[in-house]
Amino acid sequence: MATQNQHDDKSKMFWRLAQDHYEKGTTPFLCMNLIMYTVGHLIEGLLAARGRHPGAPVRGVPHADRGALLRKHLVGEGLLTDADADRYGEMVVLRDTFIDGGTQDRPFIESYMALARPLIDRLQAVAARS
Amino acid sequence: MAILKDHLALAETLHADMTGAHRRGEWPIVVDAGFYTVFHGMEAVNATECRDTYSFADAADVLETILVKNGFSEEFASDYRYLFYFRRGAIYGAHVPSDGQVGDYVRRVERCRAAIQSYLGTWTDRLPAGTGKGAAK
Repeated sequence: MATQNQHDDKSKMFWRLAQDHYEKGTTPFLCMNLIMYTVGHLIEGLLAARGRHPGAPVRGVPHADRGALLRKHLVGEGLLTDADADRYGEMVVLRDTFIDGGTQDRPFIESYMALARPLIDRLQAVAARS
Repeated sequence: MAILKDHLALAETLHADMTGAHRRGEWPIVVDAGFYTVFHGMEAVNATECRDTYSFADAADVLETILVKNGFSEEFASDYRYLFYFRRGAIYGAHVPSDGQVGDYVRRVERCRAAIQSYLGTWTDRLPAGTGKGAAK
């Protein structure tokens, strides 16, 4: 399991890449992933500081219960709000259905960035105070 | 979950993204785009037999129980597992790969992509017009 510092370093790396490639107009699918990885590492850094780590489904990737842990610990402690958790949930839902009806386009990634940016700002602020 | 030509088009776009990122030294994009090049190539193969996978576990199951029997090699299955777990450790976990590891990763992606293209080439005469080998650029 990664430590809080390792998650923080990766969130910074992914956010730098996400903003750079968003501006360059790189493939929206990749931009969406970079944005989600930024959020994921920010959340997991805060959870790691509390000794909590998301599990993974069998042969899957480790973010199965990230949303539930976020609500229980980060919203529970008052660091985030239900609205923040709902925003994260919406990001997950949109990403999980990425391929329904085709691939993401520029309007999609612009709306995805608009959805993610306030949550990233809030998570970064919470992390800076931790 | 998409039709054949969409999976092929995305796989080829991501392959180009991987190649460019490798030149620039952006390993996170190499790892992500490289894995999804192979994943969507496999999904294109699945689409030829009207299959969709809803999870990575589905993809591994289909690979091991159907695709290997249909002509994909054990080396392909091994490479796919390598790419999957490498991405998991590097993207989600704490690991930061060396240049040499990234180069090996890219070689495995290329080997998988070549196998997928070869397999899909045998389907060309059975696919809808415009979706066969070489259709996605």
